[in-house]
Amino acid sequence: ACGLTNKPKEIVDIDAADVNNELAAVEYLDDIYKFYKLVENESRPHDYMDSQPEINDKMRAILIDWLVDVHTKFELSPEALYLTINIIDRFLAISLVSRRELQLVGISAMLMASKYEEIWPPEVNDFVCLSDRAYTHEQILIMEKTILGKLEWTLTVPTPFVFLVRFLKAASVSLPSSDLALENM
Amino acid sequence: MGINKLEDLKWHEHDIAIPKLSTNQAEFLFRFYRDLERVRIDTLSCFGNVISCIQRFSNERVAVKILPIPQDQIINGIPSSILNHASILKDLDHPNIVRLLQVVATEEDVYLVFENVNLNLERYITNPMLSIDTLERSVLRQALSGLAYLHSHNIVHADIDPFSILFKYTLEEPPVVKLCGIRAPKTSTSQGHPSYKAPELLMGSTNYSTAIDIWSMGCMFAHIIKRRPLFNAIEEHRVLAEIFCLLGTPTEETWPGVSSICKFIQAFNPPIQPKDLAEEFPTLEPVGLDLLSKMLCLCPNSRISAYEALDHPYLRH
Repeated sequence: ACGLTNKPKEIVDIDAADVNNELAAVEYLDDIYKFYKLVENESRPHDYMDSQPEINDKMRAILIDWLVDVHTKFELSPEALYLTINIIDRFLAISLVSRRELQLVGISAMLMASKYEEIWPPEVNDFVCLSDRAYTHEQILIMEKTILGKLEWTLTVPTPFVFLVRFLKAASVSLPSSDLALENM
Repeated sequence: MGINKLEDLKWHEHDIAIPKLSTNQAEFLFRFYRDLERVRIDTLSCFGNVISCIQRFSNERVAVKILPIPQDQIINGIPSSILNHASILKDLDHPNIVRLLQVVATEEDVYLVFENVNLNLERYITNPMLSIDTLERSVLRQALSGLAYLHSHNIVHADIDPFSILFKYTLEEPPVVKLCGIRAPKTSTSQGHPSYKAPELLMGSTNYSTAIDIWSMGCMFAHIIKRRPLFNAIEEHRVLAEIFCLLGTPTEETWPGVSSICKFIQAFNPPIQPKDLAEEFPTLEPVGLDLLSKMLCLCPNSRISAYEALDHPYLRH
């Protein structure tokens, strides 16, 4: 009863322009997004804050704000930022982290996300400097391995970014101008 | 069980030089595994050592692949190529894709623990005791089904050859095909055997689309039917010549845009005419020839997709 009474007469094929672009993989887009939708729920962490004795929402917000700054400074892609936050939340949902280590988790998560997404990821030393030497080189690398082990090396996850790109395409926003918009979402 | 046991490791393929294990690698392996046996089940292009062994706690036979972290990259932790590779493989879960069970990182190496497989397509075809006749369709269907899964995950294999199609035996059931040698999209520059490379790549295109896998799979299909490789040359330009001899030269009509990829194509005037595939493959029934010709379509945009191929009458029943 609450369904659409006036369905659009014609659904516009937003991929029509890419049919001859093999790299756009148009014939597989439906499957790719079906798969993203399917695993979106599996890879989404539950609300974990109550289980963390030393950290709270506010600290997470401060950490994310700081990471957004770092992300801008390194000129990383929006994909890397979304993946960083996904890694942090999935890790915090299954591991107790002290207040002292929260930023370390954030740094190692961003290191991994930029290795995953970027062609030229920043180096560990860049992160050591940016965090004002709050953590050593070695601590960052150990945390990287700890997080990878806990997450069983699963980094290929649909972040909100993949859906946003699709929605923006449907809304006919051209991508160069939307980079800024994505940052603010 | 000591490290000196290492020298007793059996080598399955002597022609390929595999580097020796380091002391740390040996210590790691002997701590968690027993009955180590060195094998080469992966594609030529794949880096690292593969060792078949039995996991001590589960008594399960697995294949462990060692990816050493290059000395100059240890300072930045896990290299991005390995991070990508492992995390993408970890995500794949399909009966026709070799399953990555576990990843373990030490300071110097990353160990990928795969389900164990028995042998590759090359060995399968060359062993006359394995009655392949009854399995042609099944092998192709399974391999394409794994490929369709990869493509639907936005992954182009880019290195399909007889070494990347493996078989796993179970007691009562027919062998299960397992695709292996999948790499990270970022590093997808095909280093595979030129005789399985798609014509657009041989002409210098860097367009790594899903269509290149279908071409390679078409070559595999022909290989299974003929019991020997469809194209034999080693140099890329000679493979291209072999392709043109069999399938004719493409023209702007049959492959719109070909002259922009390949400048010399217009020199073939008049174009070489394709041979009759039915004469080349006398044992293959017409419906099979139809599928083969659609997989070996020169123009990548007109080439059949993995899903369409699975729905083709040759494979449907």
